[in-house]
Amino acid sequence: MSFDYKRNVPQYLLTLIILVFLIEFALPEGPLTIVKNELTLWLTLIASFTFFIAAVTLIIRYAKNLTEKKNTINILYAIEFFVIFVAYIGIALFAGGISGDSYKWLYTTLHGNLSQAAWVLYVFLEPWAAYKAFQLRSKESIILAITGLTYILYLAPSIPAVVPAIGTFANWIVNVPAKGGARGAIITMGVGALLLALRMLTGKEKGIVD
Amino acid sequence: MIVRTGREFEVLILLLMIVYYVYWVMRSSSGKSIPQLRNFPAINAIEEGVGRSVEINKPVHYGLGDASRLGGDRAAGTISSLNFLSHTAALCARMGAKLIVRISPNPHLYTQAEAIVTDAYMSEGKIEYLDKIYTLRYYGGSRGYMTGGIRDMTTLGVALNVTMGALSVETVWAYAICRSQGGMGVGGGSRWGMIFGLAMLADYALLGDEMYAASAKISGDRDMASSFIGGDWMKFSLVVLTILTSLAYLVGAQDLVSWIFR
Repeated sequence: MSFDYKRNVPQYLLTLIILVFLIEFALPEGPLTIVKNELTLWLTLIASFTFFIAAVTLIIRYAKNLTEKKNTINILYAIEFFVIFVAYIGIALFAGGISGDSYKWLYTTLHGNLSQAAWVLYVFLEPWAAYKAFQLRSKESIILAITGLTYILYLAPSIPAVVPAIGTFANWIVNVPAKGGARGAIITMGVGALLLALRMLTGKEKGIVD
Repeated sequence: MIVRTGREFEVLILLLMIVYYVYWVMRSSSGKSIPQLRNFPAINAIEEGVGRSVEINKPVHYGLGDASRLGGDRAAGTISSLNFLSHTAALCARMGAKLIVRISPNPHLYTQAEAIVTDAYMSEGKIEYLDKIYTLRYYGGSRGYMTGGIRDMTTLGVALNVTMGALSVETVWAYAICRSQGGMGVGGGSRWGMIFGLAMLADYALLGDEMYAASAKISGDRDMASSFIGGDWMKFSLVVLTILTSLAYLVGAQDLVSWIFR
């Protein structure tokens, strides 16, 4: 039977690395801790390299947008991408580096403000989405409506003053069912994540190296 | 000490989990009977949504998760999301539906998503129908992800929105927009804080570890599914442990409880 290098080599590496991390977690600090720290550094390096691959992939993608000339909007997005890409690289290389004033200005004034502007969209989106969520379409949304309304009334200063029971009920919701539910959900999610790690360790997880 | 001080209880739990896992996987591998994973309506809904996409000629949107990344506590959810992407892409290729993949703000997922979607189309023998420029969309940071995703959903329309993985505000905007566009919403999240959005806004939700179980179910792999029986045994053990520690606390064995939860 032939050895499947494409699948087996990454799997053996994965198993070895997970084993090092697991055993190091359990044992007192020692030589394995140095190995784990070194591996963590390598993982950071590999992750950084995947960022580089992603950047190359994006350049190819936008270059194709330009050359294929299928869609005007896509061409405009591609031009925008390359103008900004070249501007950032040019300023970083020839105008004081990434800690220089020009780069900082570009990042803070252009990128920063545009990012904040995009985030402001959420100010309008969230109440609208909340309205959509509060539409009573299921038993879950009825529960959300009751608990959400109670908590909103509790946060309005005048309401608990007039109806003190609202405060008691709101606190009970937060401290009893919400906290219990959260802990139960976190434990089950933890078990699920642990299982996934064990499947990766033993090569039973489809998709990670296939 | 053999075990690092302060980690004795965690190591004990880990060893117990390994015992359960090995037992059920060995049982499955040896061909013995194992309980079947229950069916998840969300899995059928993805297939139904892809079919609907072909009928109404609107795309399927797949969000990899605005907080997904292949590292730390979000890695497990992200890997599950990649499994669902493979399943959804294969269905789209098979039925001829248009697919749009929102790539998470972490760009290293671009290469993963590209490989998975390409493999899915190749396995269905439909690679010539894959337009990567149309399908794979990277919007930059989390704000770009949101605004770009909203733009694509409103301008191109939505037949089905699937969002899996580590989710943040995407649980709210993606499903609200999907609902307003008349699309079907299917989702799964691995972060407790944002599960409320899925429960309220998605038509079919996989909450918490249901997402991991459904991910194993779609793989069709018996060993993957059997591992979840071990997980259920672990949950029963933790319930018993919770009851026992509560009783221990009540009868005055606070030192034991403190040792467990330190």
